[in-house]
Amino acid sequence: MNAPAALEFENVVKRFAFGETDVLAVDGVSLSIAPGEFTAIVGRSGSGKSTLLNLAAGIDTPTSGEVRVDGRALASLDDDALTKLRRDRVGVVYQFFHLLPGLDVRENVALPLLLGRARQSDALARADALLAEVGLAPRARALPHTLSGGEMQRAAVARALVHEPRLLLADEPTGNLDTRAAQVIELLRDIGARHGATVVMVTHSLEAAAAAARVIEMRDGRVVADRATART
Amino acid sequence: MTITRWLALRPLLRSPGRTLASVLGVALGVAVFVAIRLASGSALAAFSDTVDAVTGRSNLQVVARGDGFDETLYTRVRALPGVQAAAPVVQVTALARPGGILPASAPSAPSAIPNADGDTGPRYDETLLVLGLDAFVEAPFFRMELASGERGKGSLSASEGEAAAAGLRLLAEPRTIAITRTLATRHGLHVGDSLTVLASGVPTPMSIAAVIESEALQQAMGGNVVITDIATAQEVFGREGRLDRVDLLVAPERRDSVRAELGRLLPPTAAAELPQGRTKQVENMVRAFALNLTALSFIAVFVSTFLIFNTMAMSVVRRRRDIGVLRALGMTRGAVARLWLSEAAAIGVLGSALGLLLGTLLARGALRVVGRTLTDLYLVAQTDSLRLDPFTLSVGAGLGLFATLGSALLPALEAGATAPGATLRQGQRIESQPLPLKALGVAAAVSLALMVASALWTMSTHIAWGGFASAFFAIVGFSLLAPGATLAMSSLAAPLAGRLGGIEAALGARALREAVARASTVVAALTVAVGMLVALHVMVGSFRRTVDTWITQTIKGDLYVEPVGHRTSGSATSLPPELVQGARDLPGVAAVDTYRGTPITMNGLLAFAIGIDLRVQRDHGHLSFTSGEDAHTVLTRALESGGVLVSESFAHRHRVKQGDTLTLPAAGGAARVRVEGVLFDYSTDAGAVLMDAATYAKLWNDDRTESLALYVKPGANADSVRMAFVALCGPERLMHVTPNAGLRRRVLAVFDQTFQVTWALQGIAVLVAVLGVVSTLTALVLQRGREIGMLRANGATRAQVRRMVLVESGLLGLTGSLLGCGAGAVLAVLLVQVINKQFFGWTVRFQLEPGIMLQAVALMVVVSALAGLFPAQLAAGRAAAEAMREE
Amino acid sequence: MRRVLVLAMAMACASTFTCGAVGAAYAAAPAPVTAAGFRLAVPPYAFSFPRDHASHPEFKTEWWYYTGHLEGAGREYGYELTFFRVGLPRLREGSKSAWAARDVMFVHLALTDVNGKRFRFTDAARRPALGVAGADSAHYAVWLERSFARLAPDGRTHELLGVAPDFELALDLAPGKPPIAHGANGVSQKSPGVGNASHYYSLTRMPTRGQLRIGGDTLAVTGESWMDHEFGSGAMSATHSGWDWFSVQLDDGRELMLYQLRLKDGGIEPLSSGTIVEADGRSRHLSLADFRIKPTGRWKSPRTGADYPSGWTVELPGEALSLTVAPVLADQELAATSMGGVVYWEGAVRVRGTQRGRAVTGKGYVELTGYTGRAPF
Repeated sequence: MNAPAALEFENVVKRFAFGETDVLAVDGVSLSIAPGEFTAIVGRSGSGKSTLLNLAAGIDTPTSGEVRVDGRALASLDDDALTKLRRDRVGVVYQFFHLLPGLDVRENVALPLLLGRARQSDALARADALLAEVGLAPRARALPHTLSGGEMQRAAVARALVHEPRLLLADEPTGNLDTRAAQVIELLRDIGARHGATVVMVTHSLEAAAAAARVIEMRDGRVVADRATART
Repeated sequence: MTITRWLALRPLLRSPGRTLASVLGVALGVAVFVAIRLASGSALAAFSDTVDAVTGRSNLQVVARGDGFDETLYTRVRALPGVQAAAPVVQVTALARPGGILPASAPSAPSAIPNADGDTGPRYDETLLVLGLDAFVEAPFFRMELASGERGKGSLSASEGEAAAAGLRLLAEPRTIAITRTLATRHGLHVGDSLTVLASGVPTPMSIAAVIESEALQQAMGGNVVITDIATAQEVFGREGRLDRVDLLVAPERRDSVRAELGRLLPPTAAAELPQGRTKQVENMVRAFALNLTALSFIAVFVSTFLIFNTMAMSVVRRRRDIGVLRALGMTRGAVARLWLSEAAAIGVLGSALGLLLGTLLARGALRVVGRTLTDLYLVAQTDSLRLDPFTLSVGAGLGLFATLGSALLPALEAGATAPGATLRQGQRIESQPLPLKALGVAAAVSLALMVASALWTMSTHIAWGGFASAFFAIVGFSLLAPGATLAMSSLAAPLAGRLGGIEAALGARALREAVARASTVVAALTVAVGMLVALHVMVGSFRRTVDTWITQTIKGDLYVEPVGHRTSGSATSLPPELVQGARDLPGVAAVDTYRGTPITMNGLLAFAIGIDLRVQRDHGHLSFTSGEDAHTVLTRALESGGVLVSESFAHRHRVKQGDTLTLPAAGGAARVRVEGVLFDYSTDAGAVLMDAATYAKLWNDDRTESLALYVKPGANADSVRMAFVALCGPERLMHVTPNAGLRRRVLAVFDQTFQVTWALQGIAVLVAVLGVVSTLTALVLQRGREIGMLRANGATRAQVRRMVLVESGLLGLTGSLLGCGAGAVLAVLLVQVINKQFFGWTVRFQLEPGIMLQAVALMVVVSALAGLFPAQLAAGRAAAEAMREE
Repeated sequence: MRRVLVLAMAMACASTFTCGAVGAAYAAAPAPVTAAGFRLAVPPYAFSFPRDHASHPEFKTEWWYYTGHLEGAGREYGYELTFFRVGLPRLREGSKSAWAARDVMFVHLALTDVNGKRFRFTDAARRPALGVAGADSAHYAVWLERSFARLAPDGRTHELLGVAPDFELALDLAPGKPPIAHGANGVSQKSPGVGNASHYYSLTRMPTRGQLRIGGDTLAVTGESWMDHEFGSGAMSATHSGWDWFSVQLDDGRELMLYQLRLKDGGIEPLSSGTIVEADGRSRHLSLADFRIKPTGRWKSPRTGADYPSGWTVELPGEALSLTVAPVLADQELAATSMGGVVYWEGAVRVRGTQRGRAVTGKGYVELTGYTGRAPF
């Protein structure tokens, strides 16, 4: 028996209503990502790649079609079950990092564990370990607004990984960074590999995509290319 | 727990100002509620303790309904099978001073002559409860435990002998008393010293023969208890032949049968009661008083819930993005909602705790005022010991918590409903949904319709709480109008403001529209606070004017005469007949009206039966009747038929009208009398039955006189009549001789005092509303930090920014207070025509007070603008860049 | 002299007024009075009956005292039923209050169960107000709550009712002999000084029948009683410490009354005296020289600590009478609870002895006061 795909899209359509006009963000995407794969989704701004990622994280629901994570159809889950799936199986690195301003770095990182009812000391210890892993240990007690962009990015990665998700989603992880973007990609790939996670990264940067084993290109909400790179 | 601490409690600490405002809001609401309940509870508890102490171990009592009952009843009561012990009691409340009688000064000496307000020289400012007991039957009741003075170290037998000797002295020697240790200590009194009591105005020195050891009596009436022989009590206070109580010890299993037997035996002037019964009666009297105050304290709580709601809702809006992140990270809807609820709970707990503390402090002050009012209104002795009733405290805390959680519920649910994707994608939005203006309008209309309906229902069914329901609907209805009014104000004011105050004023006015959801809660809070302010002013003002007019028009006596201490001792006061006759014979006196009254109980309610000289009233007075009939006609009719006149409040409470027949529980037996008229009377809300002195004397076997009203002949000088009367009384009797104007002043002073607490409560509700304005404006300004930064970056001066915020806050105040005036007018009508009518049955001539409304509007606009000063300063002071940086 | 002068003294002296000077006004005829206005007992006084059974409110102190021995259903009882009236200083003259006390009334009721060896006692005090207690001055009737003593409509029979929480005694007493006046000239002198005396008479043998209700049973009882009635206004002498009083009904039809006032110095008041009543009703005054009383044993009260003599020999050399007096029960102590709380011993006794070699037997009552060790009165 083959393990189910880590992430599957089947004829997924997502339409947003902005007043009178509809915008078709994702237009019939079907694809399957195998466990452990490091995949990049590339495309221009507005190509629907971020929407695809949100659909994968279950924070948006498709207008039609089906999204499956580890073989479970997200549409079949109610809000709480979906929330739990997100909490237990999925880690997301957001484009704008979305660190909570009131908590320091390690608290931000520990948050997903605490939401899963971990003990505070365990959660903080785990956060410290991950921060060490991403090289942010010295800034563990800093508040988010004192961090540089790169530090925020690494904190966001640590938070996304803290609960050892099977699926790590990253939305423009290098988007807000001018330098050291490659370093972040490395980090994602290495840590993903070390934790055995499936990594799906949305990026507009071909340079970043080059680090991935598989690159899916989107345009106007459709998949226009899907290729394995030399790295496989 | 960690999550709660990080995400709910930390934000509270990070904005201490806002948190403090919320906490204070809750605290004030709780404090007011707790203070009022504690104060009235303590006053009641003190009364009930006194009752318990003076009741001893009695388990059934025969209690006088009014001015005592015939003492021969005692022999019949004690002979009933099942009665194990029976103790007769004469009980009088009297004014007293430590020490002997002051040497009589010459009548011309100023100290001996009452001044225009009836004040006399020596101060008789201790109120004593005088218990006249029969020592021989006291043993089972444990009240007469006496010691002869300072407790010696002598043997038990010696002190027993002393106690017996002291008891014997009380028995044999007239004018001897035993006093509590408390009283002895307070005034440094010893056995052999004197304590002078006022008996019908006559200072009567009583020799202290013993000290009361009984512990229960040390605290009763704050220790102001005096025991005398029953004969002494009757002699000194002229109560020969009368008892006020017979305390019984009855075999418990036969109590009901004895009670039933007593029910058959007792005349209408006495009733069999369980010892708790008496407390119950006073409790009923006090309840109406406390209810009004409690209703007011709920207003404060109500206003503070607006504040909490607002704080919570704004917190949700401000942290919308955080919520999105939390949801994305795997926080469930329920957990998010709970997070906000726990934030509210923290405020609630803090606020309640602070409120309890504050309430306890306030209660001490309130107790003085409440106690004084209760003393004035109901002759309940005053207390200064506050009782921290755990039930009241827990209800107060519960109220604070419940109000906080309740008002946070909507915002919390809204927080929970935040969709993570949309929030993350679209960023921050001010409001999740536009206000459902139409639905709010409908709700307001429904609420106001319910208000009218319940008011009409109350007026037809006379069910008192309907009035409160009606007031509640009024408050809710007007609150619901707040969003509409805010939008209207914004639309109306923006162009005007623009023209008058430039672009920044226009922006300020427009800001109201953008933040209507938040602004309108503040407007609603202001509406409620101003509404109550206006309503109470109008009500009290109308009431006061009505009373004033009533006094001026109907109270026509030139001099009012009563013994000092009359108001304390009540019916245990009488003037010698020769003094009454002497007053009639004074040159310059046209007529003398006599007054004799007794409390009676009818249909379980307290009322007063009063004998006056109807002939004098007819010829000299100006009583005014609800039927509009001429006083002369009504009084002549009453004189001819021997019928009675009832006060409006009596007619209301007992549902009687002119022409009905009334059965009075008179001392001489139940008497059927005809109601010949219903008169306007504002002297007591308990209701009065007035009859001619002769009728009273016949029905109550009592022709004594408590007080007098002197009518001076035209042309005679009231002042010289007063001097002549004082001379007639001689130096040995202290009298209040009050000219008409003085009486009017006194009545109005009592009136004003009654409403003191009302104003204090009102002030607090306004304070809470102002707190709401400050905290909401601060939050609104902070929320618009980016916009303000942009304005500053684009060249707005600090002054312009400040003006913008001031315009916004001023308009907020204006909207709230205008709406509040409307609410106030409506509430005032409800208070005067519905609630007051149901509770007291008084006709109050309603008069709207535009002056008060203008003042309220001006006050609120200024206060709101001032409240906006801090946030305005804050906004103007922020560096443009800093404001912009905040996403 | 009898008994509960104690009460009078305790009451009047303990209070601050008017105990002192007696007889300031006695020189003035006709009747000398105390400073408080009470009439003093001075000779001569002629008793008149039935009027003198009734109350004499002009005197300060008065009591009606019944003791007796009863038999019913094979059981023997002794009883005491006493009413006291103590006049208060007249400070409330003119009061219009019905409660204004001129007197205080007391009742003492005791029952000695000879077979059951048990002594029962109750007491109460009331003011004579609203008919709760009183002493009629026209027709003999004294009462307190439900207990009473009065002269029946036949003018001869004394009707008694004594009510205690645990028993009730209802008796009819017939005068077996006419009243005997004690002392001389109608006056029984207690100590030197005008008015330190009382008017004192006894009905020494009253055939008695009635009912005793006790423990749910009602017993018909018969027996003989002794009535004392004494009134006066005299003060107790400060030199006295108490007294021992004896009443004896001999089976040969004679009666004997003796009292000795004990002095604080251990001696006996010379004015102590007695009366002997012959079977035919004639009586003779006995002075202290005529009798000798000697205690033969003692009993200490566990209740009050008072140390009483218990058992006596009584010698009347003039009569050649020698008696042994023995209590039927050692503990017949009355510790009153009502005002003043007097403590005394009053109990049934059995008497046996000889007169000129002939055996005599009898029954009696003995009263002992002033043994508590504290202030005697």
